[in-house]
Amino acid sequence: MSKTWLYALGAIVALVLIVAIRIYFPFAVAPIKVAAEPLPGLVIPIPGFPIPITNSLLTTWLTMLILILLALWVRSGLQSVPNRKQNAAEMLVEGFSGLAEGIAGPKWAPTFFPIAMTIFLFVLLSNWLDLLTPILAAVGIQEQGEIIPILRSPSTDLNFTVGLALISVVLTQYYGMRAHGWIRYWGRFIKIGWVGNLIAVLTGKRKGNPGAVIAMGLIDTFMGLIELISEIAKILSFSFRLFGNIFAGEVVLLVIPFLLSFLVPLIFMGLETFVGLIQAFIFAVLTLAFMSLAVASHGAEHEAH
Amino acid sequence: MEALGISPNLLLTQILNFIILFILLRLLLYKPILSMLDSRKQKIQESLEYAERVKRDAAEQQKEFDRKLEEARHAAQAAAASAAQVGEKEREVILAQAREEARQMIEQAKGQIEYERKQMMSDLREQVVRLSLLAAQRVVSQSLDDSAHRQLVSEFLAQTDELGKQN
Amino acid sequence: MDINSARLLAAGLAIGLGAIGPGVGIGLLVNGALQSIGRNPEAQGSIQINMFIGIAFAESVAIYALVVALILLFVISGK
Repeated sequence: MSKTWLYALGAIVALVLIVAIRIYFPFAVAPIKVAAEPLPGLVIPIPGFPIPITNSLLTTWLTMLILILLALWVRSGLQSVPNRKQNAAEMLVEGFSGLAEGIAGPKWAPTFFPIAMTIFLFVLLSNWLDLLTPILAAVGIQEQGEIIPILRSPSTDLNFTVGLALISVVLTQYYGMRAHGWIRYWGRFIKIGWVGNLIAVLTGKRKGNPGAVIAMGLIDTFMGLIELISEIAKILSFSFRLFGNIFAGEVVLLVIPFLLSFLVPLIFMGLETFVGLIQAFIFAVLTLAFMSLAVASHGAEHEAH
Repeated sequence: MEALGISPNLLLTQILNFIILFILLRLLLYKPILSMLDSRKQKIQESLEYAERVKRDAAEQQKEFDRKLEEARHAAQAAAASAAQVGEKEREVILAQAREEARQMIEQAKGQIEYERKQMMSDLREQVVRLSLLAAQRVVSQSLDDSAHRQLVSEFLAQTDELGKQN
Repeated sequence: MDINSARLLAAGLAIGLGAIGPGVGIGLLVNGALQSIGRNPEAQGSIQINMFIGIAFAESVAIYALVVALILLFVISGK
């Protein structure tokens, strides 16, 4: 019997097994909830700062553990002539490092690369854990007639996504300030340089129409404020983009099996794999792009004026 | 915020999680791999340079070898030419010697022949004198005195000498 | 109309109306990106990266609508 037929037979057997399991063990599925559920009775008792261990927090730790174990595994066999696993790891790291260099330039790339790479790996793995949702949603603790899943993809917890977005935006500001000095950097948002101009015009040191100076200055200030708001809005768009995509994917993966149990969910799983990859990539690349904008383009803009 | 499940405690925990992961991955994954890539790059560069150097050396050696070969060929050619020249000279010398010898031999032979001819002539002359004296004695035995006789013979001999010279 | 049906209706409308703009936007983006790739196939890599970034921006609007819909569906309890 050829290999193809063997695979086909395996697939058919798996399908029959799924059908049988669905018929004989109709399992309950946890209700869809936006907020991550704390696991009952599990709290890290820091006085004044109790941390309830939610299912997504547990999964975050699991994700970290997997990533660190993978890193250790790759590191254990590091040699000058690479084997297969080292090749894969090197391709990933080198590809991302090249991307960082392309976006941020050779000066800042070594600084930004580890941040973006960590974001990418962390988000990617937690996105892909989301593919297990149909199983994870059924494995849980029964509490007051409701199932609380033990594991839940971190990307479907706003704490995780907002935390990452905060890190990304705060680090962007930090590097912007480090590159330009904090007075010059914040001058990008709070534009009141026109006041000095106005005083010069009013005292007659410079010619000009005071009304026009005030009008242009107010527009300038307003633009600066808009930039400040867009900076803050980045946190929202970063976190809700990731959360929305992955949470919607989870909802789809949970709902589709109720409509059509066989094969169709597989298509959506493929879609979700792609979405998870793209979202992780976008999170990392946008972080890189914003950081390099903060350190570079602002200065160039000033020189151009 | 509460309804969305965002709580400051969990938020801080997640940020802490990221920082821990960042530090660990940087230590365990990026630094070793990047330094490995760097060292490999350096190694490849070095070996490329080494190969380049070896190639250059080989080319130089080849050139040197060619040069030496050319030199040797030149030397061989010069040696052959000079040998040929020497041979030619020798030949000429030998030839000249041979010619000289031949000429000497011919001369000697000529001298010999001349001498013998002269000998023969004088012999012949003697004979002729004696024969003619004898013959004349017989023919004219009483009619001529001795002095007239001698004069006659001398005249005859002078004539024969003229004849011999003409010969 | 009781509050529950209003909530469900609002959720449907939110995501339905909110997806129109990003749909058109993503279409335009990919249109432009594919045309540029067709004109200049060597720049495919950078065009693709920028296209994905642009798609992420356009898509985030739809995601906001989705979040609103999700909040309407799962967070606000219709009593």
